[in-house]
Amino acid sequence: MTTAPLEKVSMKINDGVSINRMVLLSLVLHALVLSILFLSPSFPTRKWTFGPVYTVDLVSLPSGYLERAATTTMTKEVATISAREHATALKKTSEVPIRRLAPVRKESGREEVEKAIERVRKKVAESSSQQAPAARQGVVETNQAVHAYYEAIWSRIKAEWALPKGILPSKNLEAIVDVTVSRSGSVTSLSIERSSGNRYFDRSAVRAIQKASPFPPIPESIRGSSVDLGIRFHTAQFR
Amino acid sequence: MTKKIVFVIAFFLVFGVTAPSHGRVYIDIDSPTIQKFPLAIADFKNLGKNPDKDKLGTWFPDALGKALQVTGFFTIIQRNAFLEDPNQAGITTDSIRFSDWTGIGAESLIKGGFQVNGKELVAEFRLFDVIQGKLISGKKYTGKVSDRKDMVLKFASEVLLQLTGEKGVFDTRIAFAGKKGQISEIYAINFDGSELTRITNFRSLTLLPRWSPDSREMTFTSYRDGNPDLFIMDMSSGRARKISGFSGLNLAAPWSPDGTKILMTLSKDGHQEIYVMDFREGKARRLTHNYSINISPTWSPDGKRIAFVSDRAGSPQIYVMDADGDNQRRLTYQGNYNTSPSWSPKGKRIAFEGMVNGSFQILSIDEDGGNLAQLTTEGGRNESPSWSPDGRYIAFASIKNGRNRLCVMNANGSNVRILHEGMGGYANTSWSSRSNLY
Repeated sequence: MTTAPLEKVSMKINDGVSINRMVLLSLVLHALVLSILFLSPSFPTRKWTFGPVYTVDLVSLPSGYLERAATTTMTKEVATISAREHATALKKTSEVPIRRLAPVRKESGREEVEKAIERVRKKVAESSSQQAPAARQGVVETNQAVHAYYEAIWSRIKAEWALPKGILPSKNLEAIVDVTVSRSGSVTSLSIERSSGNRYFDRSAVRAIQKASPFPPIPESIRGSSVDLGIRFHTAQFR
Repeated sequence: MTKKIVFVIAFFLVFGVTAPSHGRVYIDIDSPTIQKFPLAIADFKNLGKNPDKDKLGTWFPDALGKALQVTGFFTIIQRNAFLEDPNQAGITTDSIRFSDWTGIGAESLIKGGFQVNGKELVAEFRLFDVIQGKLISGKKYTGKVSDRKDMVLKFASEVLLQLTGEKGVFDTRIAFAGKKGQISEIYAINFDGSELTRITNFRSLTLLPRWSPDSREMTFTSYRDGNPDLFIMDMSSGRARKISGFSGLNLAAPWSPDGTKILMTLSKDGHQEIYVMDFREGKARRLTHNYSINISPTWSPDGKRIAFVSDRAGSPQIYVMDADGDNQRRLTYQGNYNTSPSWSPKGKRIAFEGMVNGSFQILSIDEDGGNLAQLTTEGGRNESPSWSPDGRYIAFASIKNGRNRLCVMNANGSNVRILHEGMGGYANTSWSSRSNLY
């Protein structure tokens, strides 16, 4: 069943040199786009985001208050968290059958990443439906792994972020939390890089990261002893 | 040619991955997935020697859970999900295994204990951040066993202060006109729906209760003497006196935030116009001057502006003017029926009642006319909105499936809750200030 379309494609390729060239060109373009997508994390640009895939609108943020200055003590409190405690906590979740209250599936880190990798792999396979030279394929897979890793972190933190509508001020808020993740996936440092100016918002962001950690181990395609992340939390718009 | 390009790009790709990168990855997270704080409340411990004959061990967590649930900001985790062995764990930081609580998805935990000696009750409450594993706040209350609900509301207010930055409004009351048969009287009820009391006993149509800023007095309009006159009542003595008895309407409207003036609508000149009366001068001054209807005025929180309803453009719409009547401008343009404005004491929004697709709904709009939002969607008629003093809730009267009810919702329209139902009609809600009980 699945082989049928593949045959068709290969027939087209064998049709003539010009088509072959066009396919190659499209491949190059694909590789270029993918490289920009996947590799930008490793470029030293500070304004990098994952783009529209990760953009989710906050349905409604009613009028609120709390325009208080951020606490400076927060960073200290946060820096002293122990990763071990969270490890046990997460293990517990998978044992306790409370689906409604703990809706976030906590698969083991590797499984999660592998699934995500598989998804991206399939997508790419569909878009460029013929064999690429081995070297390039390898690079693309590496990038997929990097991408999938960040996606896994994103989805974990997002799933843990709890903040009621109605306690936020009407203006948009944004906080950036600086996180260092070790190779094993545990959070070794956590501090508020830029406060939102609202300590309840900042606190909820820090809590979300603490609840979401430890993260899956860093995939081999990312080098270095740790990964430095800026997690940017924001409320998309008022109402 | 093509091969060369491929080679260059392949090199570039490999280089990109393997090069030691010092750049930061930024991950964008746009909105919280969980929109209520997950909170666990453990059963309270009997710290004394006397047996717990009132079952306070479960009464305290149940009452606390109920009070906090009412705020719309918490998900109370069910008892049967708890992992902790209550016989092993204590109520202090070092005797709690916080992973028992993070494991069931809690972010905060309330623990407590009590001692009963005859009619005396000592209760202590502790709020923990289970993610950081530390105490956020602890309180000890001493009183009578019969005061236990006050203790619960006091601590619930403390929890709100700690987790959301604003105390609760458990010590506020909502006044309204309640209809029974052909007459209506003024009633008031607590924020949590308890303690309904009747305030007037005029046995006539009595409407439009308006609390003074300190909630010690109230103005309202009554047909007691045949004409809709304006009265003021001292809340502690219950004594009322007439302060405006012009022929025609004398409709009560809100007090200025500093308590020195009241707004009112009078029709002594033939049609309804808005007046302000300064208690110090004892004289009413007219603010609107045109031949259309001008009614339902409400102050901005700083007392510098007034929103009101006028039909000068052919249909009733909300307008805003300066407190002296200058600079009148139209605020609402959507729909052809918008009335009953109420200005949020915090934030810069005005709630009102408007007709949407043939039914009456509560809407809110920025004071400059932007961000119109429909807050209620159900029911044939939702009317007379009034803000809580913290600006987080709106009380309103509602008719749904032929049933009259008094409701409260969060300011974004979520968490609609019935405060009272069963009277022949509810109208003219007015939210008191805090009494600083809790």
